[in-house]
Amino acid sequence: MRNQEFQKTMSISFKYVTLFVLMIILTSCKDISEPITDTFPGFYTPANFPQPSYAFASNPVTKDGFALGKKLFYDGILSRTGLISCGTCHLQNSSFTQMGHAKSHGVDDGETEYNAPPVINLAWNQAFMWEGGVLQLDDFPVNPITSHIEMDETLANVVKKLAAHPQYPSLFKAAFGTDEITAERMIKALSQFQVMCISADSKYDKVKRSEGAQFTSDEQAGYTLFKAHCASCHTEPLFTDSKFHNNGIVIMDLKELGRQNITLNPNDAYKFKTPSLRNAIWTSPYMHDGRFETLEQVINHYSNGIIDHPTVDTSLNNPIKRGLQFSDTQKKQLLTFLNTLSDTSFIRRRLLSEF
Amino acid sequence: MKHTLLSIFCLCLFLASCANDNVSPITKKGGSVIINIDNVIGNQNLKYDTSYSIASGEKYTIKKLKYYISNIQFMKSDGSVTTLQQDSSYFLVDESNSASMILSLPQVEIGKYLAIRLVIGVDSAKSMAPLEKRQGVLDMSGLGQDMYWTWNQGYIFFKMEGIYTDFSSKNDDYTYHIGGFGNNGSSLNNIKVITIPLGSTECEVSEDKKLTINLIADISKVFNGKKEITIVDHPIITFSPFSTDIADNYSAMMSFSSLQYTIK
Repeated sequence: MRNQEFQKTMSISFKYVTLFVLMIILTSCKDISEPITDTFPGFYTPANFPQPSYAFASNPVTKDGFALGKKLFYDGILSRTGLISCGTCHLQNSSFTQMGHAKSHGVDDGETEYNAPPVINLAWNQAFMWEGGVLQLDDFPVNPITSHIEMDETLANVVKKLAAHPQYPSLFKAAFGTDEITAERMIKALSQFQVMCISADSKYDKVKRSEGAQFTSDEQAGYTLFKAHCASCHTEPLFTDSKFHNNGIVIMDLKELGRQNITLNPNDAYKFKTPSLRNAIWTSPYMHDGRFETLEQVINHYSNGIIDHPTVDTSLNNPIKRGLQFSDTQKKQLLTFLNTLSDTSFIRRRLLSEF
Repeated sequence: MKHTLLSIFCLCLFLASCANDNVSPITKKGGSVIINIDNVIGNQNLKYDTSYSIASGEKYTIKKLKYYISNIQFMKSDGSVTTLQQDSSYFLVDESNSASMILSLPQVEIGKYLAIRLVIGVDSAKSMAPLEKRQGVLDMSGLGQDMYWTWNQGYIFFKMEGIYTDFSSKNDDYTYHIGGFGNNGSSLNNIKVITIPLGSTECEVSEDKKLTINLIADISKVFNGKKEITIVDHPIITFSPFSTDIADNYSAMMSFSSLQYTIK
């Protein structure tokens, strides 16, 4: 009898062991799109998006890693002066660009080389910076941190400052298991915040996902024009092909070679990475140097401002018809469509906000 | 019993699913090998801030000299090659740090070898590897800090800076930062794989003796290893087509000097 009871107890405890081990397996290899807690959504892939390219295997997004990354993103401690944070030039209310600034200001008011690009949908990004010299998100933050114009710091000194900070060691412990602070952990936490800047709830997305929204006839006409004339570079659903093009803007500075600086190929002169058009109404000014202030100016440029230069994309520089030559009605329809790419919930999302 | 088996099965699954991608353990016996590198200028010992002449008639001094050595292999007379554990096979030679010129290799399979093969620089896979795979001398927040291009991702394989004196006796800085792994949009590839014969006889790696291989790196080859350089023409060379001339030149800098065996 006692023996039977013993066996029963053992059998139950084995059940628990099995269950426990199974749970470990499931959590250790958790699907990245699975919610982590009720309040923190974890990383997710919107239904109308492709699979992300970010290497989540070596940096899975966790609630604590994200929280640390968010604090770092908005902390001037990354800069030599203590005043310039990532958020200084990447503001949520302008889709993480700096609205109104063609160039941004770093430490000691130095002016940056290019217009600040948005921090948006970076888990799908294939190349970083206007010239595409950086291949993966984790290799990006060293750029602004060590740039003499932007933050003018060294990674080693940031690590030192973080280690001496009253809060960071415990935040690193929560995020990574121990309070050891390394540049790798700091960068990975920043990446966890950045990949969570997912913008996929515009009207366009809701139409594409059949969530009850429908384009108006003007929006639909704009979308048709867009697909015919713009989508070859601003490829859906991310609205960028992650490639490099000369879009025929007037060359202001002959030395500003763009992609050629990376490839050393003269055929890449004056090419820059295709920016996403998502949230474009909030990311003014436009182009790598922020030369256009309004979307009307941008559309007018593509319509009849294209210059003749050997590296201008052939889709814009047809020998018979230079520029896309839109009618006034077509321009309005295109603008109407671009407005459907605005994701208000993204620029207001509490999860991402500084305060 | 059923549950025990299930638990064991689950545990195995767990271990297998999260296995570390460590390299397989050394199955064959290994021996200790050290490579000493001596940077020289022709037949003189290299010293910082000392004036040396080149064929163009110019003079130069060296203020900074650092370069990566990686992917070391040992070659046998039958043509077979022993590759060292790759992750432990990255070294940064820094003229200002004598310890950096003693390359303590991971265990080398015992046997007799005719030559070594190594890379001056860093291979393209490592240049694009995730952060956690780029530690030690490759850590861009540590030892590799000034050997990494941030804006155009990749390591600076070879860095040499100093002052040159041109034909009109004018002094100016020269800066050679040579990199480019050929896989980041550009075909510029300055990864130099070189083979260095280890003298006239085979060297022996054994369990009971430590082998020390002394190599010489003649830095003056930077200016004439394959093509004669006139410094004033391009005093600043970084990521540019001219960098291939410098890399071709320094690919001829390394040669064998001597061997030593120390009984353990």
